[in-house]
Amino acid sequence: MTTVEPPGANEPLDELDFRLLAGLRELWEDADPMPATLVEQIRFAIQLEDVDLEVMRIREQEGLVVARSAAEQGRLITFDSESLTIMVNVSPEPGGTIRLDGWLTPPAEHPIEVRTANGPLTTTSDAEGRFAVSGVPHGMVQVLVRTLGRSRTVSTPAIEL
Amino acid sequence: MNVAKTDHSRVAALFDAAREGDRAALDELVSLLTPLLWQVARDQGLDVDQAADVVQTTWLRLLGSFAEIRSPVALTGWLITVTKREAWRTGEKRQVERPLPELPERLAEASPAPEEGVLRDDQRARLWRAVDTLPERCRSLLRIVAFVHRPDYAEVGARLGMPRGSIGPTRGRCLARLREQLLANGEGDWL
Repeated sequence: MTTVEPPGANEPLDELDFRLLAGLRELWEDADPMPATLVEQIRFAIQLEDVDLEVMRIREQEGLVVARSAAEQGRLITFDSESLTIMVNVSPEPGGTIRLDGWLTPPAEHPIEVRTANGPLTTTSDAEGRFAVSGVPHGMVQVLVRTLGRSRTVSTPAIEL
Repeated sequence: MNVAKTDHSRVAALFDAAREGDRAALDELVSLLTPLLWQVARDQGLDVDQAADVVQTTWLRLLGSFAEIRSPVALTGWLITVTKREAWRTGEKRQVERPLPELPERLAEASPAPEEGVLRDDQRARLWRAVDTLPERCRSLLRIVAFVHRPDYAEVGARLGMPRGSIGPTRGRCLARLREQLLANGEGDWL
């Protein structure tokens, strides 16, 4: 296979190349900007004492976008990992806080920690894998399941509620 | 210029500290490298929410994997690889042909401080048009490489599936094509 190399393809990068790359960075930052809160969200998520984590994914589903922005409407978010699924129903409470009703699959009793901007809220799931936490403030929220009998903590990503 | 944003020695120092458990250093690494990972995730065709989740998941995965990573250059490569892998798991089918997004007008009053903005309006427009004429593979490569600090070009090129020789110490055919295109456009402001 023969390809025609454009002139200069094999020369070291020069000053113009670096200007072009800096310009490209600026253009992409303008054309496809990161969400303003992304870095803050990630910093919140990684402020964990545990480093041996099983990280869950938000399972794709209808209405996910709405769930982010409209906690007041009551939405179901499902998180998945290799060993666990968590369904969390997010609903508004009087007084402007949020109630989380969760359901773990496979069902089991595990210590649950809901990290919030104001500190952690803890509970334990019952034998059916159900748990509920009320009084959750709006803002960044991350659910940790400190699964009994296993060393790894299961964590959802931080989401904005 | 973006020198501060892409300072390799800063990343190297932070990498060592973060690996020893310094959370402030890890926070700063997140600030420095998340813009790169955002572009990687978006370049895989994810929507904004999916891309944000994927980038966050990548950083969470790093928490348990720091010990495996030998150097700052390897860190960048690792983060890019995990972001791409997570994007593939998360994503819908990637669109085959994706047009370049609209470039928003840069309003004079909204412009950052002069030393932050590298480009004047006419240069912006011409560079973006030149990018638009590149093959998708080149566009994609340059999009990511523009967010990488220099010592990492070779590693990143390899992670993006480009042969090592084609980017790094050499100009790389995509940059050369971009320059050709700017030349073909006539005006000499860039060159």
